[in-house]
Amino acid sequence: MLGSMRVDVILSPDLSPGEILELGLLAERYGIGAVWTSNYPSSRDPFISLCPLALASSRIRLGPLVITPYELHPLKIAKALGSLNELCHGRANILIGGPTGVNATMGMGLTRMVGRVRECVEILQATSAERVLNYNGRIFQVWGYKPVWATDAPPAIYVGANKPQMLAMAARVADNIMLGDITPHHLGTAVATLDRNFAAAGRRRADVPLSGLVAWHVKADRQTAVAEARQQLALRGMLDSWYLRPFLSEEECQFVEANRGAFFSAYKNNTPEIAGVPDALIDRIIDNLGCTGSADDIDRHIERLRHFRDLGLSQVALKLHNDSAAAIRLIGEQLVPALQ
Amino acid sequence: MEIDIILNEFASPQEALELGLMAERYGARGVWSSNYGWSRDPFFTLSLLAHQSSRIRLGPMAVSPAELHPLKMANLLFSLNELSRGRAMIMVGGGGAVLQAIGGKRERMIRRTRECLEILKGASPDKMMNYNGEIYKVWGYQPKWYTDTPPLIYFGSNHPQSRKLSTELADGLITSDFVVPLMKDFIGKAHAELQAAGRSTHDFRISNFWAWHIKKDAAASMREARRELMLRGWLGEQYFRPFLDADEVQLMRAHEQDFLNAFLRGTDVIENVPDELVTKMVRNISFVGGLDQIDAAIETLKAFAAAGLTEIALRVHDDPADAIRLIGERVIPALR
Repeated sequence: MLGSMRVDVILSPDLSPGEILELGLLAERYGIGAVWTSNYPSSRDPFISLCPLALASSRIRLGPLVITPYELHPLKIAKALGSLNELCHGRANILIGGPTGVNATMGMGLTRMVGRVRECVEILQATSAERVLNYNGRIFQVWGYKPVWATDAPPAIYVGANKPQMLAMAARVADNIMLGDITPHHLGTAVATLDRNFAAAGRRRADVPLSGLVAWHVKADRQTAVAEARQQLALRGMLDSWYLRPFLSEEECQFVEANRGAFFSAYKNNTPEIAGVPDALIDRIIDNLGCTGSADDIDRHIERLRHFRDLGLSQVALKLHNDSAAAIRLIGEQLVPALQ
Repeated sequence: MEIDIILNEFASPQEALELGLMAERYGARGVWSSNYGWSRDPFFTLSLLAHQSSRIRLGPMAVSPAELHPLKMANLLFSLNELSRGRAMIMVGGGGAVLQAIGGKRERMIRRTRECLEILKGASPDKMMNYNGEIYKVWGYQPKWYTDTPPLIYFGSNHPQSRKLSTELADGLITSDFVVPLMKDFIGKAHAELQAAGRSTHDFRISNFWAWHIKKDAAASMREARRELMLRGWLGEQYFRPFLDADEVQLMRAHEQDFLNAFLRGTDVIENVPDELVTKMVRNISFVGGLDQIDAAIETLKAFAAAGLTEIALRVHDDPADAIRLIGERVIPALR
C-alpha cells in the first residue's frame, strides 16, 4: 500500500502580498501542504510577500522558490529564511537551486553550480540559535553567526535537482529534494540515481521527502487551459532537449531548439501564438510536461500524479497561473482527497 | 527638525510593531531597523509595522551593496514600500558587521554605492531598466507593481566623497556621531555641493545618528553609554577632537582595545582608561544621564536643528519602550 502524496501549490510571481494572503488561506482550508512564492527578476521579494500569510495562517507551510546562492549570499538567505520562519512559527520552506532568470538579469555567470548549492545548503542547515557558525567554504564564508532569536522548529530546506551531479550532491546533503518539470522517464531515472547515492552516503530515500514541480493548467474551459499552457511553454524545462528527449525525436528536439525564440516571444507577449511551430508538436510537449485540460480531465491527471507517487514522489508542487483561486478550489476539492 | 528612532539589533517584528506604533502615536517621523551580523533580516523586522502602521516612515539601516546586490535590494525595498503604502526608506552604507560576517571587504565603496543608488533611483514600473555598471548589471528589470510613492533613499555619509555622492544621487544623507560643530561644517559643505549639482537644499534630507541613553536611573544610563562607547564613531579621532584635547585623544586611541573589550563583554568596565575621560566622552557624544539631562539634550537637539538637520535618528538601546516614551513625551513636543 503506497502512502499519501502531499499537494503544494506554487503561486504566480505577479501576486501582491494581499492576494498571496487570500490564496494561502484558501489553500490552507483545503488541506494543501504548502504555498510557494515564485522568485522572478522583476517580481516582489518572495520572502517579504509571504509576511501577511505567515502571520494569518496556522498550519500551511510557506516559502520562496527558487532562491539561488548566486543572487544572495547564504548568510543573507539564512537571515531572511529565519525571519520568515519566526513569523510563521516554524512553517517556512525554501527551495535552493541553480541559476535562474534572476541571475541572468543580474548578468551573472553560472559557474560552480553544484558547489555553490551544496555550501549554501550546508550553511542553512548548520544555522543554529545555540551554536556559533563559522563556515570556511571554497566559495562562501560565514564568521560568527549565531541567531539567538531563531528558536522555532527549523525551516524545511529543499534542494532543486534534476541532473546527475546535482542529484548526487542532493542525496548526500539535502533534507528534501524537488525535481522540476518531471516526466515518468526522468522521475524513474532520478530515483535510481538518488538511490545509488543515498546508499553510498548511508542514507535512506524514505527519510528524504521527494517533491516534483508540475505545471497546472486545468480549468473549466479546455481552450483557455491550452492557451495558458502554450503561453507558458517556454518555461517548461526552459525547453532544454534533456527534458524533451523522452517524448520527442532528436530531430524534433533540434527543431524546438531552433525555434526557441518563438516560444519565448509567446511568453513575453502573453499570447498562445507560437509562430512557426506545428500545433501537433506543441500539444505533445504540453501533454508530457504538465497537467493541462478541462475539469472533465481531472481523473486523468489524478492517475498521472498517482503514477508519480508510485515511482517515488511523496509530494507534488503544482505551478498555478491565471485564476489561481479557481485552481486551488479544484485541487482542494478533487485532487487532494484523491491523493490522500 | 523631526525625530527618528533606531531600534536595537535584537528587535523582533512583533517588538518593532509595538515600538513603531508607539513612536507613531508620539509623532516620530520614522523608525529604523538595525542590520547586524546576528540580527534578523532588517526588512523583515519592519514587515508587521509596515502593514499595520499608517503614518510613520520605516526602513533598514545600513544595507551595503557589497552584501546585497542592488537588484535584490530594490525588490526588498519596494516590497516593504508596497506593504507600507509608500512609507519605506533605506540607508545604504559601505558595509559593516554583515559584510564582515560573510568575509567580504569594503572595496570600491564609492563606486559600488554610486551604481547601487543609480539602480535604486532608476527603477521604474513604466520603463525597462538595462544597467551596465562596472560592478553591477541589471538587464530587463521592470517592477510593474512598484507604483506607490517611491521610498526615501539615504546614503550613510561621514566623509567628503560619500557626501558628494549623496548630494548628487540620494534623497538624503545620514552622518553618525557628529557633534554640533562637525555637523555645521558638514551641512555647509553639503549645501554647497547640492547647489553645484543643481539641486535644491530644501528637498534634501540630512540626518545624524545619535545615541540616546537617558533613563530614570542615571547610573544605568551611564553603564549603557560606557558599554556602547566603542561604537561612537568607532573612536575615530575626528569625532572626538571637538571636545577632547590632543593628549586625551591620544590616550583614547591607545586604549581602543579596552573600549572594544567592554563592548564585546557587554560590560561598562573600560579597563586602563580614567573614568574622567570616559565620562567626558559619553557626555559629549551621546545623550546620557537621568531625567535631569533631558533639557540639556533638547538644547543640543535645537542646536542640531539650527545647524540644518532636517531630522535626527536617535538610537535607543536597553528598555527601548521607556526611551521612546521619554522621547515622545518630552523631546518631540519641545522640538515642534
